[in-house]
Amino acid sequence: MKKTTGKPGRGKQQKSKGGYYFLGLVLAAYLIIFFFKPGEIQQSLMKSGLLGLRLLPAFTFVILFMGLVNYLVSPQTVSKYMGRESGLKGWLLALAMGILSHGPIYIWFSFLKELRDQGMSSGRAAVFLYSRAVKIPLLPVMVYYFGLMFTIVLQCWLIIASLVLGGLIEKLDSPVEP
Amino acid sequence: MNDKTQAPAKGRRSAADALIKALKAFASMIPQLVGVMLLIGLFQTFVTSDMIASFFSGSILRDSIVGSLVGSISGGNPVTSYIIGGELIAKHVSLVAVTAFIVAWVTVGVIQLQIEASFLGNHFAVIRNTICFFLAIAVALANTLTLELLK
Repeated sequence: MKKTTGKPGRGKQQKSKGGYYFLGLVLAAYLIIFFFKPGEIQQSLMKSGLLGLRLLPAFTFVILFMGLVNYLVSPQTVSKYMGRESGLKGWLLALAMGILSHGPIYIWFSFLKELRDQGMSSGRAAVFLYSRAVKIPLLPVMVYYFGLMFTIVLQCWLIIASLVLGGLIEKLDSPVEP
Repeated sequence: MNDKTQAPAKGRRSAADALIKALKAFASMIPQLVGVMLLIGLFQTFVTSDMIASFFSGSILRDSIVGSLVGSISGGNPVTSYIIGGELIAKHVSLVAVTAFIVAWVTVGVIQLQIEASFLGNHFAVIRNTICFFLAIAVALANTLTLELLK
């Protein structure tokens, strides 16, 4: 069976249609629930709107970051530093980028697709996504709720788990040879 | 194609072109982003911490699986997961279950699975999320065990 790996996504047209279908389904759910619980739907819309507003700076940051990467980084560089042959430095770079990135996970998918198209390995992409669980700005909040020792130990396990995940994904999501 | 001759040409792409390419790539995400944000709004309105607490039974293994499951289908700012986690601990839910919940919250994304699959491939999205679901349980167990050993 052929895996859909290597070049993710199968054509811009299909992908953009999929996005609209998804949005259509969510809007349909809103419409159905609205007939039974109109007050809650208004609350949901308010919460979603506020979330969108809060994320605007993150969206801007990601777009500028993607533009900068497009401008400065060549596919050869991505392949060298984040490709399958990049070794330990590739894993550590993906880990550091994930920890330092901010905003919700879904705004980084487009950026990762660009990098993967330029040669980033699946394992490094997975490490990037997982290591985002280490949220430096939120550590004081975690310490407040769960204590210092819990927070320190958990961050260590999250880093280990992100590398374990990367290794597994590298084996399970290897591109199909042409 | 010769890599060495291609690299400088890529490097000479104008800043405006690079930004337009980034804008187009990001714009293609907008319907999915709006869908995900609307889903998160629904979740935050309809799912309360009392509702989440009712899923836990007291069995460590079962609760860690339930914690990972609930965290996987939840979404929103991680701070929300810390607050709910704090409330769950106050309601005597085990630390393993709460840890699995907060780890799965940030590492597994059922709500955004569609958007992840469309950008990074179905295979990648499904196996990544499946492994992360089990890793949340493993991390929770390892974390709690380590804390016990350090006491």
